[in-house]
Amino acid sequence: MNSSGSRTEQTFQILTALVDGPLHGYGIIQEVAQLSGGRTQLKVGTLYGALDRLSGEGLLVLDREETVNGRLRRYYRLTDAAAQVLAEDAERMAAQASVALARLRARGTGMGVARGATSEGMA
Amino acid sequence: MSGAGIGGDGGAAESGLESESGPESRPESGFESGFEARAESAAESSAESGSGNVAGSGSDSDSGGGPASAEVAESADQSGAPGVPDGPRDAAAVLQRRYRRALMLLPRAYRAQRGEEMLGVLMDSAPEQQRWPKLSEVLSLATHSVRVRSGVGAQALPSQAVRPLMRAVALLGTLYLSFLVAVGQFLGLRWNWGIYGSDINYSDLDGHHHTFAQMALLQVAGLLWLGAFAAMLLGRQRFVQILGWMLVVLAASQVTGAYTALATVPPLIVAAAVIATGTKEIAPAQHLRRWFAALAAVAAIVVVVAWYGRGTYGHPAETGPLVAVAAAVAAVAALRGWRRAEWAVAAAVVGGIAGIQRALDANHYPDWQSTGLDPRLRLILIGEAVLILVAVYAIVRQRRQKPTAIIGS
Repeated sequence: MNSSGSRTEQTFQILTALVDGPLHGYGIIQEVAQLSGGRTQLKVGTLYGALDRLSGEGLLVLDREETVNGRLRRYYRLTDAAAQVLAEDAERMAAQASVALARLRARGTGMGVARGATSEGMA
Repeated sequence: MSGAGIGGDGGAAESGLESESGPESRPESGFESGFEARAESAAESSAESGSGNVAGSGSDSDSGGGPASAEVAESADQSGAPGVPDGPRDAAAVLQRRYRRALMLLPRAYRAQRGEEMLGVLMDSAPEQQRWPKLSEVLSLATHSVRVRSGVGAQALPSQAVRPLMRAVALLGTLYLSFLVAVGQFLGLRWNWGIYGSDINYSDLDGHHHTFAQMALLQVAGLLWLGAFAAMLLGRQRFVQILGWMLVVLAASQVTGAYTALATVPPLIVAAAVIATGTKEIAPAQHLRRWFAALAAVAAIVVVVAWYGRGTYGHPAETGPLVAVAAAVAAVAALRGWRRAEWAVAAAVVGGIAGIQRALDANHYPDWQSTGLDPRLRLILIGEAVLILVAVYAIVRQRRQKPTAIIGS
């Protein structure tokens, strides 16, 4: 299994998108776009590269298959190991963000950005 | 597209996908079969859900000459619509067919498993009036194809495949060496006790004689291999790093049971793999119980075989335990390698390491030198050949049957 340090932001977003429940490929693309405020638009090749890798690492499993209007949909869900890994990644990133914001406040520049980010996080 | 029902049908419901299509539009098992038929199916499916499509038939049908219009006409023929093609329906059919062609970039076996699913996502992602595949999507598929075909498949980029392989080598190698050194030494001591009574002869598994201090060091060394193995399973990075460097020192100082300088190389390789594994954060093994059960099973095999085995010159039956450990490790690796090629490759590497070590030590046995290719050495060579074949098979299988973890099982 790859270390979380080598996990990309897109992979992190995909795992995050699947926290609430199983999603199919297009659902993951939509959810990631929504989570990122539209900044991340996953391409299909990228998505399936990540799905293959994550499943290979035991972080994703196939939940079920459906055929809707002639199109095959496979739903993927997180494993317990993935939830643990994601939680560790999220805590580490939160800690890093907290340090960065604290230093920005101490520096006295970018205070608005820091406050805004904090208030968003609080909200 | 954004904000559609994620947990259910997703945004594809926007184009009327709630209504079930007819049976003729259901995907078949093989992506390769029925290429044209599927394009026709898409046209019919599109027609059924056409009410939700964009009303841009004019702009679709007047997209000019060239291949687009030719394919539209062809698609219109397939869907039984004579004369001027119906834009919205045929736009979807044409786009689907073009995406299907773009998916031909992927290997055949991969397409057979993923093709229909990926095609569905591509079509769901496309605006209703889209007729040509997005360049960015095609480039993404091409990149994905390179990953899939690159020997490590889509599972990981080559640089990312090294770490799992290192970890597998480190786990199997420490498992092997911990028993070779620690359990083996103990059983050797016990065996000599049985032969010589109270006259304890501090000889190891191979009959090499040591002082009490050397024997104690051998035991410590064996415990270090075992400790590194457990630390990797538990994901204790700091311990893995420390133990890795300690093992390098021990292996280099020839107190791990190696009788020649060259024979220190295999333990050094395993120690290096341990250090490499400890350079980054280690995720705990997913099946800890299985691993420790395998550990216990191997220990039981070693004890039983070594206890009841018969060796030459009063030495413990070193071949029996080694073969038993190798077989057990190979069996574990083969089970793992059934899904993950790195385990099969790691088994071949560790098998090679073990074989080299035994072959080098074998030079110190007079009977091995005088009789040419000893049966034990022959057994080792045959075993290694089998492991290499299994590894090659696992690599080929992984290349052809991606993704194994989700769908192939």
